[in-house]
Amino acid sequence: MKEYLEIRIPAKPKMMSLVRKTISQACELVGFSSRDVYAVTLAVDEGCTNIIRHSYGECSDGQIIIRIRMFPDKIVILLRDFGSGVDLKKLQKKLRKRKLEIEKEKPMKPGGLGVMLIHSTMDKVQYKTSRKSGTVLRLVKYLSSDKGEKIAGKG
Amino acid sequence: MQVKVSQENDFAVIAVTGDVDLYSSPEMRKAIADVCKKKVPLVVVNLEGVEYMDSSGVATLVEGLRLTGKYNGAFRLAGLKTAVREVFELARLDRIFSIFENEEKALGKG
Repeated sequence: MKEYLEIRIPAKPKMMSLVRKTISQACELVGFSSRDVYAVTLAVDEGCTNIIRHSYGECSDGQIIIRIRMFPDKIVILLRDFGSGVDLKKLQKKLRKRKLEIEKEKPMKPGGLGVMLIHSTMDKVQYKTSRKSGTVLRLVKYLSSDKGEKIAGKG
Repeated sequence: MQVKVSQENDFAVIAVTGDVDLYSSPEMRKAIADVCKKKVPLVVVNLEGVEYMDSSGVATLVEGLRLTGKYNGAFRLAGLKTAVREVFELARLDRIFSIFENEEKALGKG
């Protein structure tokens, strides 16, 4: 099975509900547990939120292209935008800081929380930025992953 | 998402229902800010009806904690679903919030 679905949405906060529904249904098709469905949905939501807030700015007319690829053992989701791009050095620095806070068991500050949640819930997280094709965030989640266990089912 | 605020002399309960995300969190933020402006001694956010919360919602609650702290008020969360609670745990924010099983316990009635 190598099927994919692609949707193009306006980079608007009100679209997030539709994105979550689409992602959770795709995850259910692959066979993820409710815990992992929540984890993947959260990661995609956070990725789109970062695009809306940081890459485009909240009042933009920009678009987000979401490609969902379903495999027997994993789901691969690409989020593409054509905004200001991602400063990878800054992102890595923020992530290292957040990881350190977790290691030292310090409560995290809200800034960078979304990026941290993406990394905590997904198995692979990759960014690629180019002027021609925009910024792509690639998220991978495997079916038997342990990371999803951190996010429980819906109560 | 729906936000319902009920207020007594010394406490306020903000009951939230639905998904809390980038789109809906400003409404919750406004409700919390309005209550905090009145310097209500105890603010309880009842999240029993919340199935989903992202970092925008979590950040809004951190802001509520900060606002109540300014006037030495108490800010408590109640009725978190397991998945929502684990978002707090991932960020280690469960340690800075007072989290209660339900609204009654958060109000000291349970």
